[in-house]
Amino acid sequence: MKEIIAIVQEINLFGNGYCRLKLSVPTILDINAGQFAMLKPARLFEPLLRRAMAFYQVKVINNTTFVDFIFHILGRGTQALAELRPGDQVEFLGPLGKSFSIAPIQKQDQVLRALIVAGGVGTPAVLILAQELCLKRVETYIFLGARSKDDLIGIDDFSLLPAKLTITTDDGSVGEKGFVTESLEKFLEMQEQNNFVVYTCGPEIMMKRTSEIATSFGLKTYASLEARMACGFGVCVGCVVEIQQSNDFSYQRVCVEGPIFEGSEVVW
Amino acid sequence: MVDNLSTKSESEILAIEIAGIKFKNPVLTASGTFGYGLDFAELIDLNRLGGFCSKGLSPKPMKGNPPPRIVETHGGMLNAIGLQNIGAKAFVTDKLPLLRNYNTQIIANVFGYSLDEYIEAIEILNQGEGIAAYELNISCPNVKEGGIVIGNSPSAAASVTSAVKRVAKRPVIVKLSPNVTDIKQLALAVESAGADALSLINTLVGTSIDIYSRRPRLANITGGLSGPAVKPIAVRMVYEVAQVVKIPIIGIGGIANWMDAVEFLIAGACAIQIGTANYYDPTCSIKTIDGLLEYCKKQNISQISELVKSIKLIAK
Ligand SMILES: Cc1cc2nc3c(=O)[nH]c(=O)nc-3n(C[C@H](O)[C@H](O)[C@H](O)COP(=O)(O)OP(=O)(O)OC[C@H]3O[C@@H](n4cnc5c(N)ncnc54)[C@H](O)[C@@H]3O)c2cc1C
Ligand SMILES: Cc1cc2nc3c(=O)[nH]c(=O)nc-3n(C[C@H](O)[C@H](O)[C@H](O)COP(=O)(O)O)c2cc1C
Ligand code: FES
Repeated sequence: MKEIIAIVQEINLFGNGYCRLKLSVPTILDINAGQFAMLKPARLFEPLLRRAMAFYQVKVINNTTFVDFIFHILGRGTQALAELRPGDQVEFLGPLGKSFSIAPIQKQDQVLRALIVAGGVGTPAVLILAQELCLKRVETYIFLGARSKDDLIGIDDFSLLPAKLTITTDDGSVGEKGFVTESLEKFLEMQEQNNFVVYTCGPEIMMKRTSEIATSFGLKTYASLEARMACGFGVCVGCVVEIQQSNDFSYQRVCVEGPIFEGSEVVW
Repeated sequence: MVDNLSTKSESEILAIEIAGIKFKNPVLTASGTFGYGLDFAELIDLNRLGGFCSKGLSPKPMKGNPPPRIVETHGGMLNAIGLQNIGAKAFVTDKLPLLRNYNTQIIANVFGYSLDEYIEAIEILNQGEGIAAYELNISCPNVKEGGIVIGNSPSAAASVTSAVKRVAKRPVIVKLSPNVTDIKQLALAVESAGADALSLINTLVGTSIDIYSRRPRLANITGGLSGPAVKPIAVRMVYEVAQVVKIPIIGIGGIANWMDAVEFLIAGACAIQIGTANYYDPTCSIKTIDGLLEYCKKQNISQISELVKSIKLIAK
């Protein structure tokens, strides 16, 4: 975790109110799949709190780390980030949180396959994971869902991977029409062997459904959750989710114990 | 004069004393915004802080409120954490041994739902080595005891204070609630009950509603408002209380830089705590210490306590 000033390299708006932001961070950061940063334009008074954003892409060149984020412009915080210009300074805290683990795939004596289910602005959080899985030669299936063609994120980058990509849109403007979880269910029903580990990030309802479907096929799901955050590094205890533990539950911090949780343990 | 000052060390200029405890500078961090201290070790040099207050500790661990627990408002935020904490025992056994490696004053913030719970927590913490003082949270607006908040009633606040004073092996700082009609009455009540110092303010009760769903933005409906938005209220309360009590005051509420800190000192605080600013500016406390030192040097102030209660009320 580093608290540092980053510099805007590139910023582009696209689709239905999305923004892609490339920052240079003047240090070497060890960033893993599923981790995030807390960001805010430097010296901005309002809004006060930084916003959590998942790393989309990471590249280290010499002593500088280049990081990309893709976000939906919603309220004051994302609006302020979208107004940044190349050369502007950004308050950066990261990398934060636990990462997606590919150990559950590798540990078994049998070779497992990976299934990634992502939707909306949950999509950026899984690109690094998909790249890592492909690099490790894990057979990977990616399901990406969006409301429409103009809400699809990162298709160019995902298509470069040697993974099987299925795209769904709610309105059918591209790919299969319907929810991504419907395609997922159909896909799993057709498999002879259900030897998958499922990774998911997206709207809560989509992750809940993904986890339910996976469980019904006897599969484990790792879900990357979202919560409103004040600090992003564990001190405010504001970002909790309810996690089942045998007969009891506890509130765990999305920013420290998460954002990745096992789907079956989350009280959705 | 100026030459004299430039040879003075940071500690000579900034050191202060409250209830017999020596702080290397008047900058502390506020309970609930600094975890148990260790989370910040990666971000700042803890040895530079005057001190810090732990997350509120109860005799037993607490689960806290259901989410959503926080919402940002203009110039501040509302929180309804519900005092989730690891419990006094775990603080003593798991956190203190690591915290003792740092050269800063550790203040254990304590709360309870009854007098017995305060005493139980204090008795556990008395066993812990390395705690400089206790800070009693009698004002948390999220937690009710039979509907009343202890900190809203001078007599209830006084009885908690005197009961804790009887068992506490360390100085007791009582942290006041701003959700009262007259904070001076509260301050005087806990002073006469034996409080060694006061800290103020805790958060102000507020609510925020989503106009589309028409639902409260916090699961708890109400939460505590903190951040720069509350600063003028906090400065006013520190000023008012400083006019009536003799014990030292620690100022809290919306402090985000050294200028805010100076304002509280002038109003009557001997030290300050930084709260919400730790979230969005994790090095705020260190920058505040640096800024205070520079201000003192530039203003020719050889000891920061000269500033305390230096408010000029009569126009020239
Ligand atoms: C670990 C993590 C990773 C994230 N990664 C990305 C990402 O890669 N791309 C992306 O677009 N978004 C991401 N988010 C969500 C992003 O942080 C929120 O969209 C952002 O904080 C909203 O800020 P705002 O100022 O625009 O909205 P606000 O003005 O704060 O609120 C606008 C609306 O968004 C809702 N909202 C606020 N904060 C969140 C939140 N944290 N999660 C969900 N809804 C929220 C509010 O309830 C409100 O309805 C991530 C969140 C987390 C916790
Ligand atoms: C998320 C959060 C949690 C807090 N928890 C505690 C607590 O456990 N005990 C306590 O005495 N005060 C607690 N406070 C109050 C702060 O210590 C401080 O009094 C208040 O936030 C005002 O200062 P600020 O505006 O600088 O944040 C909490 C504040 C926040 C924002
Ligand atoms: S955001 Fe503060 S603890 Fe997670």
